[in-house]
Amino acid sequence: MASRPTVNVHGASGEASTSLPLPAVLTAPIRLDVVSQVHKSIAKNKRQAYSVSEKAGHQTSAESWGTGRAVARIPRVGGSGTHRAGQAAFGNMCRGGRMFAPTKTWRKWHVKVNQNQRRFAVVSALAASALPSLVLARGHRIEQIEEVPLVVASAAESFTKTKEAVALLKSLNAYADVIKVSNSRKLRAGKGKMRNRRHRQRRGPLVVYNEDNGIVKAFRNLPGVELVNVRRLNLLQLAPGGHLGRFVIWTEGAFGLLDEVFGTFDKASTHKKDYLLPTSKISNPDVTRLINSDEIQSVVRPAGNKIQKRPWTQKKNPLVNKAVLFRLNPYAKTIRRHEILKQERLKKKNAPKPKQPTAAGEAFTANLFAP
Amino acid sequence: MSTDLQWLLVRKNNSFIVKRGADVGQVFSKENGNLRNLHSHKFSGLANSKTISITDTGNGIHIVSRKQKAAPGAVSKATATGQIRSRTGSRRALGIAAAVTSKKAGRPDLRTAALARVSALLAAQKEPKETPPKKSRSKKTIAAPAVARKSKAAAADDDDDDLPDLV
Repeated sequence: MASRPTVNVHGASGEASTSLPLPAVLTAPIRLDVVSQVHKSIAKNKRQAYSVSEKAGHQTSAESWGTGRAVARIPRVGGSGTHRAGQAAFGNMCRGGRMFAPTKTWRKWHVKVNQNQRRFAVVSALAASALPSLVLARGHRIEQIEEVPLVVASAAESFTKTKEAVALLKSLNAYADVIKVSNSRKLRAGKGKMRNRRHRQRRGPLVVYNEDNGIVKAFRNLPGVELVNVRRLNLLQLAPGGHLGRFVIWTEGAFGLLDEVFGTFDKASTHKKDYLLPTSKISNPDVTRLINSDEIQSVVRPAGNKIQKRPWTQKKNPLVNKAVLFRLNPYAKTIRRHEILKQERLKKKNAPKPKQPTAAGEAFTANLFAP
Repeated sequence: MSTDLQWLLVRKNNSFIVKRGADVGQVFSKENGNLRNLHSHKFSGLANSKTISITDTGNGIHIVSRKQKAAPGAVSKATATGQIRSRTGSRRALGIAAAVTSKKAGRPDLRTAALARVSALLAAQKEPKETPPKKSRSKKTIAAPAVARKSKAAAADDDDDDLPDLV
């Protein structure tokens, strides 16, 4: 790499003022499999225990009638006078019976994920948020913004009014993503409606700040916008649903702190003990670039003539077509020639000989030439 | 990051993929810069460093190509927009599209796709030919063809009059 790429810092009116070097985290390897697997486990850690009642289906004194009554041996409710009497009970196949394997509150609700894996996933998600194609692929409306990662001047941290926040997003051309969220708001299907999850909507930009001087209150009422301190970056916010490429808006202070929080490839983080960023297995995964490199091109043989295959011509049968046969098997010509010669030789040899005239018998000649 | 790896990341799932065509053996993709709207690395508008997008804006065709020397993180700064006005003839429009695709955007492999897209957009702009009025087969019009030739409107009225008789 010739020089570290830089990222522009955008002022309140959207113009680029200064620039910062790209933090090492944003060039870390992106592992979709790690992120989705860690996300799957971490997302479980917010669950609350639920189960069916311990007593459900067992609040009767049913007993089996045993054999000989021409009914199944399932426990049956005793007594008479109600419909319930004589009905089967307890079993999971019974009406009013308990469910199969009743759920228990002591199910394993939380999943432990190794710290290094969690960090790997966060680092991967951060690196993915710095690639425009992945942010677009996640569905964020970032076509109009200047660049990714998007960094704004630290003055934004002391915004206190949502009006200012909206003006900033509009000047950055990032407001389209908020509008997308606003338009996506739909009534949730199912019971969640009555459980304080009435609506569902997309996720908008994630604003990462260094110090909250009012920025949280300024932005938090915008639909879909989430805020987080750079020291507490969270995979659930960086890769919602396990999908990489959240649109992240950094404040200058937060962006500058990334190298400290996550460390670099050769300098340990100051916030995480002995943590070095994961390195890629190969430094250049660009196959075309590798093939066209001087190192490889200097040792490979020069390309031969291009052979043009004509795909739509009729296939010739070499057993029938002599020209194709001789192209496939040059010796066939010799074989054929020898065969013909042999046939000719045999023909000559076996040809029927003309009848040799034999001398006439003595008696016949004497008779013929009789005087 | 190489485009090969980016393609691996967006290949399995992204917000533009349309899998409804899977039953006809095609997975489609609707992002900008995908000339044939096919979900493949070659045509992808996401996982390529050189892309070209051809869209109809209503008053002309927009050709947006990604600048070849743009920084990998640049989004709107990296695009160069050109326009083919609607009064441009088709031959010239196709020539411009071919030149932009192979020279400016640096994707000679997409030339055919670009030309096909431009011609499709041009064809869509044309007003469709009016369908000729249907010839009436009612007895009255056959009996008195002179009346039918006089005016089409009158012929239509005749048809309406005939219908109750037929029923």
